[in-house]
Amino acid sequence: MRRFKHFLYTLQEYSILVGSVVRNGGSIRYARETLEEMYLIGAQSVPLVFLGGLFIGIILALEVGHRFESFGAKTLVGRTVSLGMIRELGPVVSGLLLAARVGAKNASELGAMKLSEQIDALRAFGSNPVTTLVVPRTIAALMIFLPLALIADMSGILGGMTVADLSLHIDRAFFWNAAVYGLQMKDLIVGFAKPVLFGFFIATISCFCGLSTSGGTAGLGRSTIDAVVTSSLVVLFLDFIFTKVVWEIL
Amino acid sequence: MGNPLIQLQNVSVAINDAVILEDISLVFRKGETSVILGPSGAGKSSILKVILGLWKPDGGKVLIDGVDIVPLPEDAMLPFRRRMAIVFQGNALFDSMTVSENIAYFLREHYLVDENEIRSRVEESLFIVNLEGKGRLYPEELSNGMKKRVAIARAVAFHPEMILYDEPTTGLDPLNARTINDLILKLQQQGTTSVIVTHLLKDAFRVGKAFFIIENGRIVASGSADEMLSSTDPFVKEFLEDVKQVRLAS
Repeated sequence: MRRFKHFLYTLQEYSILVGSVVRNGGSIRYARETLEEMYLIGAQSVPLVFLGGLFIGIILALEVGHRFESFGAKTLVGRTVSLGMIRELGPVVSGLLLAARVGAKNASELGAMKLSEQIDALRAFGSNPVTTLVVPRTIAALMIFLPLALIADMSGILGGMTVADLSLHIDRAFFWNAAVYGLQMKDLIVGFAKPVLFGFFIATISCFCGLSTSGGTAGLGRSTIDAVVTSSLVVLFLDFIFTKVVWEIL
Repeated sequence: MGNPLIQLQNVSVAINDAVILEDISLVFRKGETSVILGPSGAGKSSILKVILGLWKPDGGKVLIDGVDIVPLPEDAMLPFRRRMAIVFQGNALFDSMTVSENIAYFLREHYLVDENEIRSRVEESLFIVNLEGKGRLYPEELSNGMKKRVAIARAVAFHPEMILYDEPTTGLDPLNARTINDLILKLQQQGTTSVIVTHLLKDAFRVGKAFFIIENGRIVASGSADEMLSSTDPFVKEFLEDVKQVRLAS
């Protein structure tokens, strides 16, 4: 019962933070900080999502290629890889990788600031820590997660195409045509909306964990773990909900 | 005796069932240096957090120039926070900013003056704390004593009416402690109201005019230095024993 009450209390506090982020989200006051965050979570994450997408695309092409080969449907590999990457694996893999990278970064930075009284100092000097610290990180995530997911999508499709050519002997042009023309508008909508949604929740959850840090360095470790674990689970849960809802509606 | 600037009336604070402050009433007067003395963990720093509105008390009033700040929302606290600055125990310098940026933070954040004036205020503040030419350094490049002086420079930069010091000389060598005490005295001569929280008796009696002794969240004695030293309260007598012996010896 006590745990459940604590969970409800945490949910209420998180909702208040999200409300404050939404209310202050239009501010361009901290444009410089937002650009810095976009660089830190965006440009510096490119190798990570590129490699993550590449290996997932390669594995996907190999797995489905060999299965399809057994009943003469190798030609479907291109379509399966592109559909899988754009609708599911690109957003989810990049979401999970970024939940770890961005989640740990935000929680540890803000947690360290909380422990060293820098958050109190901001408030004492008349600043709102949500506007100063959380809003730039959230806007940066909203803007940068989609391009990162697209990089994961593209590297996955290119990886799959290369493996399909070398290992399964599927012509590259044929693979590419099947990959591109097999996609529908709703696949693109789903694939492009998910990273934006993931970005918002990863940024706000990790900032919330950071701002809730207490209990010294052990507490900082706990809040960083909480940020990564909760963000990752929320990515998977949202992916399920979003997929289900979109299939029902579109 | 100056007019009351800040009054705490029957203030109580509890966190997770632990009583931090219990029915505390205090008056800090304009232009006066007040010292809150007490052992570690007695609740001294909590008083400063309550005055700044960083903590909301569970009961009682905090009056600044007669206005109760307890029911005020965060945004409405700004006019009051513009009048006071705090030097945190751990300095709470923003570690992602240079010394100059730390000192200029409040002025830039609230667009109080133009950039030329900000630069001149930063130089003036660095001069006051004998840190000319150190503006480009980051906090991690400074010694503890220098960090404390930067924290004081940040506090004086916007010419506050009142400065709150949380253990300003704790952990410093005698020379640095003397420099800090001289700074406090200099600001006192300029008419700045000061509230100092410390457990270091020598420093407290050097700079203080009005004294409050706190034990387990309750004020057990208040008055001038002579009144404190002649107190018959057993805890006060024991706590001030060292000061009495030094005075007798001299």
